[in-house]
Amino acid sequence: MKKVLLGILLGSCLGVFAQPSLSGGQVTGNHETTFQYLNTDTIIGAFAPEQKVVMNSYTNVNYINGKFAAGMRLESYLPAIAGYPAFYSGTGVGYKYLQYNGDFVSFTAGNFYDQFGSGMIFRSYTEPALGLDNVMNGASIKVRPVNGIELKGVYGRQRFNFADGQVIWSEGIVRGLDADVNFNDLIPSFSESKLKITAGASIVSKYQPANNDTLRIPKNVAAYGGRISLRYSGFFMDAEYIHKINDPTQLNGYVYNTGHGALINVGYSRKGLGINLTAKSLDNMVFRSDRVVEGNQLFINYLPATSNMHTYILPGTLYPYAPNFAGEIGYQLDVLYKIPKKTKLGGKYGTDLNLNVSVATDRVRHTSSENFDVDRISYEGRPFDMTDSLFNFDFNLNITRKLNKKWKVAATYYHFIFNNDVNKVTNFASGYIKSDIIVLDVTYKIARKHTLRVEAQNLWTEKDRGDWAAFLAEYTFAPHWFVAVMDQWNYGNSNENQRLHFVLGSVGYLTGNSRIAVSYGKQREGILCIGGVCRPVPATNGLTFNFTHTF
Amino acid sequence: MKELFVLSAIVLGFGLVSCDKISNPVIVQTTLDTSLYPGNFAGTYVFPTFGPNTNTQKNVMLEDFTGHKCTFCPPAATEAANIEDANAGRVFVVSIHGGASNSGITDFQVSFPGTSKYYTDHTTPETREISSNFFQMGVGFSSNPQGMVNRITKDGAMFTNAGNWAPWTAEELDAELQVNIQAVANYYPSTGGVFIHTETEFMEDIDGEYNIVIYAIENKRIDWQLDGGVDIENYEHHNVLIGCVFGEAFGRLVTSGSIQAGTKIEQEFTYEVPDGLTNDDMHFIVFVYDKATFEVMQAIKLEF
Repeated sequence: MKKVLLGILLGSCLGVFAQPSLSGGQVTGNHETTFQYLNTDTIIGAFAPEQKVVMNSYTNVNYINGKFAAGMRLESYLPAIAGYPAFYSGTGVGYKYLQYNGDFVSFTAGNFYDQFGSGMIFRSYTEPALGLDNVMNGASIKVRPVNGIELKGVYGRQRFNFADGQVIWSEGIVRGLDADVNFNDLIPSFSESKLKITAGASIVSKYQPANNDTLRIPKNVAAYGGRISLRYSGFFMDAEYIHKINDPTQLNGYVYNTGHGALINVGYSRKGLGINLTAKSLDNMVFRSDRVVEGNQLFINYLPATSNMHTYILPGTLYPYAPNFAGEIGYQLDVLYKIPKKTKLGGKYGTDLNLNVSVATDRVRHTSSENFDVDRISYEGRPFDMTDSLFNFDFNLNITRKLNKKWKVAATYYHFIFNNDVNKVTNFASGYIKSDIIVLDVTYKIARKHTLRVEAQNLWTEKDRGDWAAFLAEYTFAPHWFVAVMDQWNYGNSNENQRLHFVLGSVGYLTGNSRIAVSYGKQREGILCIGGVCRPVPATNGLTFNFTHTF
Repeated sequence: MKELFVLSAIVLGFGLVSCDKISNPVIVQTTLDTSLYPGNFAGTYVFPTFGPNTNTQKNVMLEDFTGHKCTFCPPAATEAANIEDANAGRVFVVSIHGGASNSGITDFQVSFPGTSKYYTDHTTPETREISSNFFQMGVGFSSNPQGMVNRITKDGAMFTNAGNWAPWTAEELDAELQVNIQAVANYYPSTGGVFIHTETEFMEDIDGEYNIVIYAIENKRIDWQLDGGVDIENYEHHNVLIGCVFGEAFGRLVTSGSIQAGTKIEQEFTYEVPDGLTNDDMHFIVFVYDKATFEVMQAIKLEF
């Protein structure tokens, strides 16, 4: 198989990169297949498609030989699994590239992922679990003229759809330039300094044709900004500011407001202690290569999340918060502290404390000087100008302690205030949903290679569907097998007929670089968020088979 | 070499990432050419407000159909100018270079580009359209020089020789005022744009269909003219019709049907002053005519 793929890649690439030294090389990659057999279950709102069986599958293959690399990804959605974006269908090549990596210059032709700074101005990436893929199709170049300076240029269209095995590219074209300077590398006398400084600047522009009878639509829309990063001893500070010019879109109601994104991250870390404070201000910063597209497609940039993406199922999937597209002001404090071991409080192995608090609010919209009928600027937004209109509040405290060689206990408390009117995740409530969650996570090492982990979770809320409980028991027989059973119970639902159990059993096998997992049962509808980007997940009832392999 | 490469990359890169900052996003739903306004039309252009129209007299538009190779036209033009001078502010002469033919051009209007004489084409699409239409209507247009006085018809003819212009004018000057016009023009030298606002007021109950036309007039033009068999190089052509606003030689509708006395209708127009001319070189004649008879109900001179 490897030889066949290698042959295909080389056959298509050697015309460009004909060198006598191309011999050997390395092939790497990974594969994932998710297969579902779905049943209709009207009680939980799960519906089987006509095909009954659905499948997502993709394989990445990369060939690297010295400074040369090439790769591709074959994707298949026959049809896509439940909840996956409907525009994924068919089998075909979803990603391919040729790349040269030299000391002075690197360049990529075809598809590429990249990011400028924090991504607030440009981030091309894929998140298969979300069905998000805004890969660029064009060319990129990186130049390192001197040690400490890197210049990047990107140019191309973005992946929009994958229909019948064909990638549909955006109508808009994205062009970008980024400069990054590491002063410690650039200035020899500064190289040994404890103070580490890097700075960067970016400009990204999109072009899309426009034909509008009532508005003069800007066909070229640019965003630009700068960033700086400082490190001194255990202290650090990263700051970035991006400004976007008028970008009327369907999402923002074709207003001609400018946009801004500001992100400041300061902190301190040493052994046993980490403090991180993040401040964020976003206004009208959704930047896409198509002004009429909504959803999770064709993002040029990335809006950073300033709330924890929780991993336990109740706090993670019932009221997850994603940055508000229109804009928000957000703050997050994250403190990690390890109570030293062999102390009265810390115990024999020490105790980990993790405090996380985040808040997101609406921003002030200054309208006094605006004349909307004339310039279609609906308001002026100023960085970090927040209102008391709360979007989300998240307080969570985790304590993890290893009691002895056999027992490890983690307890987490969450308090959420979620504004369902702003980021709607449920049809059963409006306004603020306050909830409290406690999670107990206990791991018991039964014997060598045999571990039992139990999670018990409870969520209390007076709104939405009321209280939930969740229970997970996971038995691991290292290094190959695990088996788990999970139940989520909506025992507090005001409708007694909806006090449902969602029981899911799983078994998995790991060997080498392969992992096979099979689960059967019910999953409730919820929201899946990764990195502040979310998609709804429908209720399902059936069998799910997942296979992953890396090579 | 490496630095040159990097510099080129930066310049190329910044050149590629352009942006369109839009300060006037709203496209005004109007027939006006708002691009002739040097600014944000939607936000800053001020439409005039008309007060009462104090005029009580009917004016006269004297359309003199002429040609630079028409040897008898200069005396007619002199007669027209004399009538205008004698009735300053009430009689407005328009020199229309157009001939009595289907094309609106005869030998009197033919030009000879590239030669030493008569190289200027004084006709325009509008002068040819006006001449052609009136010729085909059979309303007395047979040759140059001939003219119309408020387009009134006598003995089945609108066109008459210069000898009748004075008495016909006198008659029209005494006629009852049925339609009144007032107009305002805003001129923007940086774009050459003129925004013209008119108010047409019907003074009595009236039936019919009425159009408004705005002639763009060049005050004087020095060029060749045949005069009494002599080629005059520096002849002063007076009040030359150089075009019509919106290119509409026969204008656009004001209103139709049964119109009540006191009805006032405001309309807006734009015009781009031709290259080489300014507001000092031009004026407009605004007139309203009856579409059934072509009779001019009122005409005013609009300077800007």
